[in-house]
Amino acid sequence: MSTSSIDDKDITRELWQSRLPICFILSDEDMSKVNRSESPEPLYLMLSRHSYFPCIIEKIFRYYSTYYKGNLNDQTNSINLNNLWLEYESIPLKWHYPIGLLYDLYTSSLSSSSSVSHLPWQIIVHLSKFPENELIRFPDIESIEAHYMTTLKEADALKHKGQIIGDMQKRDHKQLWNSLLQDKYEAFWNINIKLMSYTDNLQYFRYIPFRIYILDKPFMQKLFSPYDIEQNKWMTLYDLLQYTLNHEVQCEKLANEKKILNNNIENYRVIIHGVQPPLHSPIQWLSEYFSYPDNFLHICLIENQMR
Amino acid sequence: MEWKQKIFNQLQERNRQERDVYAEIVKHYNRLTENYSTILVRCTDQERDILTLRQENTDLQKNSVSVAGLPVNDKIKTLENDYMKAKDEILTLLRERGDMTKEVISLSRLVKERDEKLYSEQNRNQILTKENVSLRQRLESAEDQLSALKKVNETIHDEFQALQLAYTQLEERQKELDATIAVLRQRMTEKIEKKCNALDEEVKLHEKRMEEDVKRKLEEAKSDFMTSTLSNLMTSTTASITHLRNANQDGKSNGSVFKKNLDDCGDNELHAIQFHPSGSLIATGGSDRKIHIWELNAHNNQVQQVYVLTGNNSTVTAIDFDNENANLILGCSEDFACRVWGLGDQRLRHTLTGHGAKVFCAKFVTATLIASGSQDRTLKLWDLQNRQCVRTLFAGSKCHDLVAHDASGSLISGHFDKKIRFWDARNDSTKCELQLQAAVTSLSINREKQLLLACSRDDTLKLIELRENRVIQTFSHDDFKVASDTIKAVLSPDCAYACAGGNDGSVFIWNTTNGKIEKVLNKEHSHDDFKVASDTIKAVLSPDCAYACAGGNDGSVFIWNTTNGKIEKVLNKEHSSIVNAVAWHPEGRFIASCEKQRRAILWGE
Repeated sequence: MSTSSIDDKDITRELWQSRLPICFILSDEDMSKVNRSESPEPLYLMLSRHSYFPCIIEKIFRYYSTYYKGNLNDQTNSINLNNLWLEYESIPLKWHYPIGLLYDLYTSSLSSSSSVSHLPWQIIVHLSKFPENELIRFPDIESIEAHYMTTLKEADALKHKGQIIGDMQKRDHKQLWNSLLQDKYEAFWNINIKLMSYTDNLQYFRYIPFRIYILDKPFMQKLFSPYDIEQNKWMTLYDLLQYTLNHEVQCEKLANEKKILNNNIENYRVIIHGVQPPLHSPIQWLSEYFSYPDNFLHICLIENQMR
Repeated sequence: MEWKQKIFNQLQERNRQERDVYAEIVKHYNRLTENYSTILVRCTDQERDILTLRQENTDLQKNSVSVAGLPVNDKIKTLENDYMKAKDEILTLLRERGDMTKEVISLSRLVKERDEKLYSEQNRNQILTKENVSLRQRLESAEDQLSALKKVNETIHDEFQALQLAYTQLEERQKELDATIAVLRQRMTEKIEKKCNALDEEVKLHEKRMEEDVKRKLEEAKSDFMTSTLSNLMTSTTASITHLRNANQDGKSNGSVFKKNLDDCGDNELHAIQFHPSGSLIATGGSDRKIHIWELNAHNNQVQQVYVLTGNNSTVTAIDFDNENANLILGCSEDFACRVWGLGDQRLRHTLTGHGAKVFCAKFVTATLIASGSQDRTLKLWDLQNRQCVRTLFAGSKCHDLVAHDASGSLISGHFDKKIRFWDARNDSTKCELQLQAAVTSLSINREKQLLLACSRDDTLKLIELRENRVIQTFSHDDFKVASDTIKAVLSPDCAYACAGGNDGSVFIWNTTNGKIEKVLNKEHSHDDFKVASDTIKAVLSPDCAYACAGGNDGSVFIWNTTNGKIEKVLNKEHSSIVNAVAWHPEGRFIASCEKQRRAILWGE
């Protein structure tokens, strides 16, 4: 093979510079309530994969509120920020997933063709009829920041028993989130590099923080060590998947689930960050350099459709 | 690490597909939407503007519809008319404005003038108010003064009334006292008359005896000489000798004194008194401007006023009888003139005017030549036959006294400027001048015309020898002080003594031969009582130099004995005020003294 002098930094930089073209279209029923003679044009935005939708919800609402000038003061009207929700092909999009994850999860599985034809990702903006049963309301920035910090602490708890995140100061936490919001690569990785260090004289994380997403199922999260001490070898992605699926099947069998998960990895496409990494990639490396900014590996398993 | 490479490649591919392809498009699309939205906004604004303009347009069209009936030309004409009218209005308004500004200017000028007037009026008003205030203050002060003066006046009035009452009371008392005095005097005169009569009878007896003695002796002598023609002369000389003897005898034997009061000699002060050379007449002159002539009856020692010579207009300063014929009397007064009366007919013969100031002294040089000296620093020689001033001698200084040197008209005069001038009879210049140390107050010449006694203000008397015109003796004394400019010093008739009165009340007698003080008559009475009071006090020696006599300022006449210097007699209680002058009778029998208060008294010894 070609001796790749690829630095890990190149990969993280490429990851950081990820963008998705998203097209926000107003829903039809909301379109009818527009107060102006012109109907709003769709809103196109290039959003980074590791960002969250609540970060730009203000922008979306400001864009569409101009068309509802008169209606906003009407109390009976349900046009307001709290009622804004996003939908893709009749699926209400969850706020607390990173955008990249949502895209990978929903666009890849729903169409048989390659993901290319799905761009720009067309999301429908609803300004009314909030689906109370399916979504939680937390559209503002502070709540999504709290969610991010929680996820980060959970990841560090898995990796270092929470020591490193606990030793960090609050301003470092703030810096992580702010650099995520303002798209500052250097500022983010200055702090994040500390979270990728080792403790307890280990050369690896204690456990790998990961979640595996399969459509229509809640995500799977298991304790998995990146290094097998007995076998004295580094675990790969394949090992992780295998272990997780098997463990899940066992849990389902114990719970007498009717539909048992297909634990054959061959049937799935493994997508992280929109790419399918080789299955033999060491999981430790993946966790260090291929995690999302919340230090989790969000892995999507897309069932291969019957061609 | 091909897995890494794979991952990296995949990432790159992904990014290319997802990002690179759409990034530009999305950017441009967003820009387009922005532009579109701004254009929309502008468009809406413009639509709004268009709407409003359209509205205005419709309004205007509505307005113009009402006017739209007229064709365009008429419209223009009406507009032009309106325009012209507006122009005319503007012109008129401008003209009016011009007029108004003119009016404004004139009015403002008027206002200025009025303001100035007002200002000046205000100033004047201020001044007047100030004056008013000051006048009021003065008025108040004047009123205060007036009230004070009224009070004073009242008090004075009250005092006056009280004094008036006292005065009336005193007057009454005085009247009573006068009455008593008159009564007493009458009694006293009666008694004195009785006494005098008695004395007269004694004297007559004495005379008879003397006559018998003389007759006896004459008969004896007659038997010797056998002449009868001398009898008449004898009788006259006898009379005079008798007088003398009588005087001597009387003076030595008879110590009593008789006095005659020459009352009513004048209204006030008596300045001059002089005996007629015959001794039978006394002339007095004073500030009553008259010369009174008194006749002395030697036999019965009666004195009567014979007549009064009037004609002087002011105080009589000196009297002189002519020595030759003894029928003219000369009086000089302060009315700058000398007058000559005849004694027989009492008629004013001549009035010699010409002096410019008071005439201090005048003397008969001859019966027809009179010399007078006055305060106007000249001496004049008057000729009585021509009745005019023959010569005027300019002395240069007040002439206090003069004496006639000889019958040709040479004079000696003493002056204020310390000089004694000897005048030549032939020309008007001084023959000689003697300088003394002080002003000359009086001159006295002896009978032989050889010695001149000058009294000067430096408290000395100088005896001058007239042949050589030099001072041979100077008389002075420590206590002798000359009181004023007209003090008189006298040589005794035999030139043995010089006498003068000093201002401390003593009479000094010097011996002329040795110049020493012979006597100072100030013992006993004289120191306390004898005071030389004024400038016309005269001290005289008796013709026989036995006595010196002077008047004092308390009304007494003092007689000193020259040999022993003691007071011989003090004749007082007759004069009531200062005795101005004293004169001896040529025979020495009587002393006449005149006082300041119009009384002259004849004293007999």
